[in-house]
Amino acid sequence: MLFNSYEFVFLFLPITFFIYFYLNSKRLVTLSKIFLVVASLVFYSWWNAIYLPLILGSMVFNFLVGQKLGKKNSKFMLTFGIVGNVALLGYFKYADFFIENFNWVLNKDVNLLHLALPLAISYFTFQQIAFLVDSYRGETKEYNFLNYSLFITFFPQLLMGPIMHHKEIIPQFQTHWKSFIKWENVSLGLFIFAIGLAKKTLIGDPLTDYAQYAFDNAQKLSMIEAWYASTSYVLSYYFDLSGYADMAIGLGKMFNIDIPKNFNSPYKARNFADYWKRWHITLSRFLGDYIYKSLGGNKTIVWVMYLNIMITFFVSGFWHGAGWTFIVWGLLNGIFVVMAHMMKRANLQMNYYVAWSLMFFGLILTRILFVSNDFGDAWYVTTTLFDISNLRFSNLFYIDAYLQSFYIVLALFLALACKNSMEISENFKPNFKYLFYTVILLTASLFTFSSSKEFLYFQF
Amino acid sequence: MKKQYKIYLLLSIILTLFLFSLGIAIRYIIDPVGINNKFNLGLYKDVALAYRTQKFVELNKIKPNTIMLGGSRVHYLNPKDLEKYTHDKVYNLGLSYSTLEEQYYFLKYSLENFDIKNVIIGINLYTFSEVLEDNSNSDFDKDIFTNKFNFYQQIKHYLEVPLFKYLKFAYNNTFTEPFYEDGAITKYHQDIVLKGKSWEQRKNNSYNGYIEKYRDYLEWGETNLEYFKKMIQLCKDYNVNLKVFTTAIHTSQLDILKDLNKMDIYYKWKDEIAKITPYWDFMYDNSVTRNDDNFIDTSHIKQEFGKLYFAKLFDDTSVDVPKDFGVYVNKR
Repeated sequence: MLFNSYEFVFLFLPITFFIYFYLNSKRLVTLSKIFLVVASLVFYSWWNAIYLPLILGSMVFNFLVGQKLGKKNSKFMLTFGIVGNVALLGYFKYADFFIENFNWVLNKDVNLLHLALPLAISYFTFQQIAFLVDSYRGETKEYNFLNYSLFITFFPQLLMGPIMHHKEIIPQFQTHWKSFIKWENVSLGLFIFAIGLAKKTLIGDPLTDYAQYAFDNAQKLSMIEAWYASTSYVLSYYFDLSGYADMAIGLGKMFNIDIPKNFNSPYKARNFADYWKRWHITLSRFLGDYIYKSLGGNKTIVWVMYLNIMITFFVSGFWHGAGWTFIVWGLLNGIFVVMAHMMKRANLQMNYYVAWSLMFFGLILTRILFVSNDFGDAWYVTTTLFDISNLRFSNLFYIDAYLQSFYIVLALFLALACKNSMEISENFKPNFKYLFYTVILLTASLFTFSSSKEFLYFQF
Repeated sequence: MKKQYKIYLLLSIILTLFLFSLGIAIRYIIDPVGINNKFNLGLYKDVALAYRTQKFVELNKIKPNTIMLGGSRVHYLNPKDLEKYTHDKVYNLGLSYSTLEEQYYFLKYSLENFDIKNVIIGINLYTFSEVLEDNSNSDFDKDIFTNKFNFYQQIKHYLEVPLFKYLKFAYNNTFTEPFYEDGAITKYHQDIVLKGKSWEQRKNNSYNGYIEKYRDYLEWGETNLEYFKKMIQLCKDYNVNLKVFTTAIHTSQLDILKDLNKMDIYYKWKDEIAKITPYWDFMYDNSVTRNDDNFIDTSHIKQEFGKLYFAKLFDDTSVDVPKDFGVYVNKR
């Protein structure tokens, strides 16, 4: 189910909210948790229940392995658990990628599996690997299957994160006062939800539409069209993903659950190291804690540290998609981050505007790679950005010169010159000003639902 | 303070719902596609924004006895030319970018709900392809046939119609006559399409488009053929007078198939159709399809030549049809 759908806003959310808190008010705490898990699974399987057994099976498997690890920290059991998770993800997400490459290298003709990627598999696999590692390290405090199920399935974060840590969420569901409606939290949650919804539907979606159309015709773009298309995608990814994160945070707040922030004005960064501290923060945190630090992190000699960064970004690229363009995307990001670290170590300072421009141009380059169908398209669009011979001011079929310009300027203004949604919500008060914002943002967004688009990370 | 939060929440919900309902009401009054036609604001309706929905609503109003099914080539055919032979209410269910799945559902619904006596199906090679180009503008919704455009679907329709795009179109509009009548594209619409464009311009646009379409999408498969079989079976079950014909295309389109080495699909298609039903074949090189003047573009014959199809289908010797136009293919 999408957050930006009528069935979610008018049915699922109010029904789930009131039943959950009603059960809690009657001191039926366990039943309320069971209800919330069931509701979250309904949310998960709204379109297609076929992968419901998969997520349930994965949860049971990881809980049992985690429990064993909690009793005895066996390396074999940890490896078994991680291999189980990676195998599941590998089968659904990477099987065709490996078959394609196998066919290419050995000149074979093995049929592709064409498996549909189960919703949220990349997210719940990561969360559960973290749970296993922490169990092995003795950092997992309790093993209760109902609480564990809530941690995995809690619907605001289930499909696209933020990637939550079990230590963050399970204790919250055990806190007594959080079982009761807190109107101040519900109000703040609604306000944050409205901001996220508007970011996604009013800015992210139109920009995605423009960019997608242009990239579908990537090899026909002129210089101006290439700039418009790639800049639109850079901005639409931010408004789409951070919009989702805001909605998740807002919904969590309504249920008295604090979900960690996932974006912190990433486009205000001046280099890629800073950018990755602000973009998809919970993913970076996961990769940092469980990949980078496992490799030795920055406690080793500097060149090994750079190698660790590159390996971490390689994993990040492969996690983002089963294709070579994603791997190169990850490595390119790694190179930019390493360069930022090198400059910092060498005490090299750059003019603010030069640094920001280089960073933003890096974002355009990496985003082109991320969204292109293949390297051919990516190369064509990238070179066209500088191809003066392909500069024309008429017959621009793949952009909307006026409306798209408006969206780009508006999105840049909001991303660069304004406070982000978390900063805005810090000052929230139940007064006329915030009421006005909430109503306008919600109403305007509601009119877009009938042509709503999936979130860009929906099939991750 | 707690009370203030409650008031904030309550007002947020009430005001949002109020403004949302108001917006739907405004859309209902403006009625961009001409679904309810209850308020005349003097705005030109743009049926193309929701062809399928509009046709469903109109079909239920007209309750025809004869229906024509097919894609945009059928959409151009004038129901009056067919009425001459059937002497009853004719409705054109041709839809631009139509799929056989859509045609099947429209046919099934018509047979189940109206006193249908004649069904004319104009078929096109491309719609039988296993892979079809995505038509993101389609408003086709299978549920409409079971729910009969209920309240929820009406709301959905008014929300889906791109209002600002429509208002921009309606504001700049200089059209004086309807674009559609009895489901068909009008002669007036055709004249607008032709106006100021040379044959070369019209040819090039469609020719290049079909090169890509045939190259990227035309693949033989059984999925859509199955829908066609089901359509023929439905007509048999309801004992209606069925006539099937292949739509004429400009000869240059056949050259595309030859250049792309896809003539085998073309022949196989005709062969498979003949196994299912007898039909009139107009999709081949002949004196009509060779003449540029007869065509709007390489895919669509002009409306005024539609009567040639019907003369052949209804064996009308009073109409002067070129001898090489139309071949009757028996069922094998």
